[in-house]
Amino acid sequence: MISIKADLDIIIPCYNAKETLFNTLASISIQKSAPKFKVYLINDKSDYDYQDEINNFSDVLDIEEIKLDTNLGPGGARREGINRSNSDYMMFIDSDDLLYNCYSVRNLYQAVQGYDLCISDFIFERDGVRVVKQRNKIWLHGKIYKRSFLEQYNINFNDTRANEDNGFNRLVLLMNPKIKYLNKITYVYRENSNSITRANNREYMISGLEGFAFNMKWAMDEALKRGADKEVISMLSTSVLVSMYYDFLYTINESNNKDILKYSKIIMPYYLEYDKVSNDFLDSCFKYKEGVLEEEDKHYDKVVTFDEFIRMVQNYD
Amino acid sequence: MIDIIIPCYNSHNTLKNTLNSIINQSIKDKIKVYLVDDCSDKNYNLFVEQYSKYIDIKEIRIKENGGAGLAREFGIQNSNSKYIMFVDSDDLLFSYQAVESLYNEIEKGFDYVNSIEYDEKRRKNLILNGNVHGKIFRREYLEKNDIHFNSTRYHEDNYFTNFVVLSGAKKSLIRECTYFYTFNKDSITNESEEFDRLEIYFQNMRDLINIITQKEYSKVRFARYKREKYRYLRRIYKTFSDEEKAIFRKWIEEYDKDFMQFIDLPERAFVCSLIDYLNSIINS
Repeated sequence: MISIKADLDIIIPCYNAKETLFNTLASISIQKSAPKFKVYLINDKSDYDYQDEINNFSDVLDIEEIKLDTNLGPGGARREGINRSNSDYMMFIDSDDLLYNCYSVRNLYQAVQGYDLCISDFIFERDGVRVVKQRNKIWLHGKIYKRSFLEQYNINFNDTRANEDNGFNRLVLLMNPKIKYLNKITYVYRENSNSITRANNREYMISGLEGFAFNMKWAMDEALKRGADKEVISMLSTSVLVSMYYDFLYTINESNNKDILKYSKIIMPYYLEYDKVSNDFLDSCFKYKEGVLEEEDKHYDKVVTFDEFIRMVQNYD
Repeated sequence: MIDIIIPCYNSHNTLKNTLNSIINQSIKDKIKVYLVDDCSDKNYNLFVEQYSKYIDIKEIRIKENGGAGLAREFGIQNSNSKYIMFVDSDDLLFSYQAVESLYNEIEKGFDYVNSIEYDEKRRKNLILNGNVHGKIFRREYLEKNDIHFNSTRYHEDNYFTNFVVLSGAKKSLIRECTYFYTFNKDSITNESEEFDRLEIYFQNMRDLINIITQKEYSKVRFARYKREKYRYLRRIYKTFSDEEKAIFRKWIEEYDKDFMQFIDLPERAFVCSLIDYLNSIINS
């Protein structure tokens, strides 16, 4: 079969996703004025295949299933998706999310021309509460990536199963891409807090932080290997430390001393790495930190200051 | 809570996308979909079977083919939710929040809410009062004022929506695109057809005049409203042959006579007659 190269690949990691995949594909199938795109379902060793879904949508979508022999988790599945597809641009959709309207793909594709990455707004819905996330640099939602940029710096997903998307995005960001911000909603992300993985409790927060700290350190290491600008790294890494600090504030009310110790232990490796890199740029880091904290401070009643938090991490042993 | 009525006549090829845009609505739990089968060659059992997993959907059948207007009317008669929307079987709801936005607005106490639609043929966002796309109606209001689709096969949507507006419905407009009006190359109307349909258009307008007179609705509203109609006529006039133009002028003159009689004397000063308007287009 001769396959003509598409302009855009849409990569969907699917693990036992039959319940929700139909809706996701439905939202992709109604795209209008979109470039020629191909949908890849990365079957991450689900209990079944997705032939029914493919048959259902093959008249309106160019769609292919890629079956993996082992379960890799969403990060690994996306990596396989990147490796086995070939268009100039790519976007990632989760198998339980939706595109926002008929022009989501068109808007993103038009906006990313001449850029390495386009970041658009997306809807974040939890238990019926809806927020529009703007200029979000953490998640994969509502973004489109240029393949040549990822290839130039050999950027791909790692094998961790939590926050791997975060690590990926962080690495992209540290390599200083040309970013276009699009002030339009293109994506809908929904979650239920009663789902097991997302239970909003302390253990989850702490284990989530573990993945977060690991992936942030991973991204920093990888960026250093690839010769990213150290000043960019140290400044952006300050912001990560600030966000860890806010995570800490968020959980501290319910925490006991043991948790705080655990917390420090998790952050320690990241902090050491950060300390090494940022030493020469303390001034700019300091300025950046001031800026971030000042803006965010309005929302929190602080019980531990940022400096106390850093001292706490430093003194962990 | 909201009935979405989809008149279907041999729509098997396009209906899938329409339903795909409905099952992803943010308030899909409040939506009931009615496929009104206007005597198609095949039924829609497969669609109902497949999509009932994702949304409340039902097929109802008319005994005799009657066109989209009667199909919609049949849909209204056989459904019962508080609000009613119409979607055509080859169009789409534009976004995730399309129905929710309309619903939130009409919940404030309006009888009829209009919004923006995207017209694929003209490649524009438009706010139109002459069709039933991207609008939501309060059932109670339609019943109280005895508002129905008529049996004409063209411009029946125009008649219906005009009827709602002219009857003095409490109306509102949201500045959000909720509807994607597909340009379907197969169903493109050729120009002579467009001309034949005009006769129906004028018939519908005359019916409206009669209704307004009977029910003593505000005539001023109609007079002002009429301006909007001119745009449509202006667009299609250019496509006519000379012979058609002559017939068209005759229709307009007749219509104008009815219309000018209908409008009360003091108001006439503010209303341009249609024939004058047409002359001004031709000369410009």
